Amino acid sequence: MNTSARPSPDGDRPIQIHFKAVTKRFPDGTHGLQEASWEIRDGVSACLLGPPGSGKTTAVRVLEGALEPTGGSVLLLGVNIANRRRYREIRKHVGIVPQDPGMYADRTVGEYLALACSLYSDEDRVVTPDDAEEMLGLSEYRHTRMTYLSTNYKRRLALAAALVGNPRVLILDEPTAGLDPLAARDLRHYLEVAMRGRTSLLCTHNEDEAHTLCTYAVTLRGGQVVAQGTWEQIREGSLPRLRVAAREGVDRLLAELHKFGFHAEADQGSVLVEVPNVRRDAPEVLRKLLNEARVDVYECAPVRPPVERAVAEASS
Amino acid sequence: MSLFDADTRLLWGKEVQQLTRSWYAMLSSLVVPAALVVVGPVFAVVTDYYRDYYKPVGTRPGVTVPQEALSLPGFSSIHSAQDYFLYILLPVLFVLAALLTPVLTALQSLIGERERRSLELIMALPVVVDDIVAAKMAANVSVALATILPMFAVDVIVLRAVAQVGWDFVIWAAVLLLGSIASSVGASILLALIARDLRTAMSSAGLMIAVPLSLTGLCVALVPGVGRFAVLGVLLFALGIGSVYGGLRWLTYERYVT
Repeated sequence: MNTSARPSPDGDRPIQIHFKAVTKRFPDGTHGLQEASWEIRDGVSACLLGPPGSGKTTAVRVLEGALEPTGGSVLLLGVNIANRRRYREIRKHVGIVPQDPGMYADRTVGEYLALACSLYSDEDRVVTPDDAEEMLGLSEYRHTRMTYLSTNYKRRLALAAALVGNPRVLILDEPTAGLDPLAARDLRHYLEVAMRGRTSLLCTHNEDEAHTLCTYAVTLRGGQVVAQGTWEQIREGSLPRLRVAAREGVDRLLAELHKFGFHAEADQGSVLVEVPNVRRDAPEVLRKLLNEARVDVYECAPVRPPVERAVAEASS
Repeated sequence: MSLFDADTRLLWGKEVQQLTRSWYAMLSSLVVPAALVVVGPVFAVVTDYYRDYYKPVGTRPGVTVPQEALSLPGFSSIHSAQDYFLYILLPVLFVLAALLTPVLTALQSLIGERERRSLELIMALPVVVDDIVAAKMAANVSVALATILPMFAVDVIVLRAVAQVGWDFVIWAAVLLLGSIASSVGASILLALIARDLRTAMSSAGLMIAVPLSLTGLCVALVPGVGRFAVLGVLLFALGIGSVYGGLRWLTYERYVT
């Protein structure tokens, strides 16, 4: 698996988010990030994948200026975030949706969006609070106190606040975490619209969601980048498999393959067999099944694992 | 970080609105200083003025200053019960009022926001953490000034009319109040950076204000006349500035937002 920075899609476009060997060590000695290098180019919808504690939220907090890296550098829209004056300027072009934020008990949806709107500069603001409310179905809750919103609408509100400045970069930290499947699907629709054509970074541990919404992935584990690239590049970096199907069925195939010492698992009516080298090992697998196990194999072809498996493999 | 920055002003407005909408914050801002800055001093000065009309019944002892204390410079100018009140008790009441009020509301505002996770929400907006903390402190100082200064004005009227204190007394008493507020802001910043939750912060607040209170005791005992207000005010102001600078320099904002 290649962990060095692979060119994002549209490699001639400028890099909008660039982590260069970034390390974040906390005072208690734990590492949020360790020598993490990755880049997202203009207009690319990327995701940061990884299990809880892998460093995704640390990366977002570095981007929002809450944490300072202890090593390396981070460039956001071409500006080193250590340069606080310039960072302050470019921050107006970045929308952030935090992970499960708390809400103000004394503030209404309309008041909060008006505050968010006034913090963005006028020349960049093409969305009014009314537009944002309408876009995310919040209009009828304009006078509702923020804490009274359902979880789904709270997330929509956070997304609306991130969009009022028409940001060039959108950063989303686990936006659907904790939502029921219907609400998550509902919010995903809005995310899709918001991310379309915009440089986006989606932090998630939900691989399906990442696959649906993003074209580029950076996989983290223990604060380190273990894989990055387009979905196809990540699949190419994973171990190849042999897809084998036989007239006797999956159970018989699995039993015979396990007997021969192969690692195999059922997948959509056939069996995926892990082999270190497809060209070298496929004839051997086929010979054993046909000659020794007397199984009627009617399909045997090299395949790449599905994206979810490739990502899981990379981060395991 | 600048208080005159447009973003900080917007956040300041939000913080002031939040404070004034909170019954808890407003009660803390009004009741404590009202008792310590207005009710106590006015009652003491007025009753002392009319002492001849209200003769004490029986043999209730008055204020007795121990002989050893009289040798301290701070007590050299104390010749009457009124002097005792104006130069010994009043500085303590002023310091207590101006220390307690902002620290209570600031802790709610700083640590309460972190505990409710609404800090995440505001951090996601295009502002930096410096702006957020500056706006919170400015809002707390504004509310403290807006409540304490009118109360102090009542004091000034009564003290000038009844106790006939001079303008130098009034000016240095105002300096003391401002110094105490600065010291309170410093204590709040330190507590917000050190304490992980509101409960710990509240229980540590007493410890944090022990330093300014000790300074008050020392100044009252050692500095004679109205000079104690000036010295104490300047010392508390320096303590406040030092706490803010030290907290942000060595503990850093990261402790607040993580």
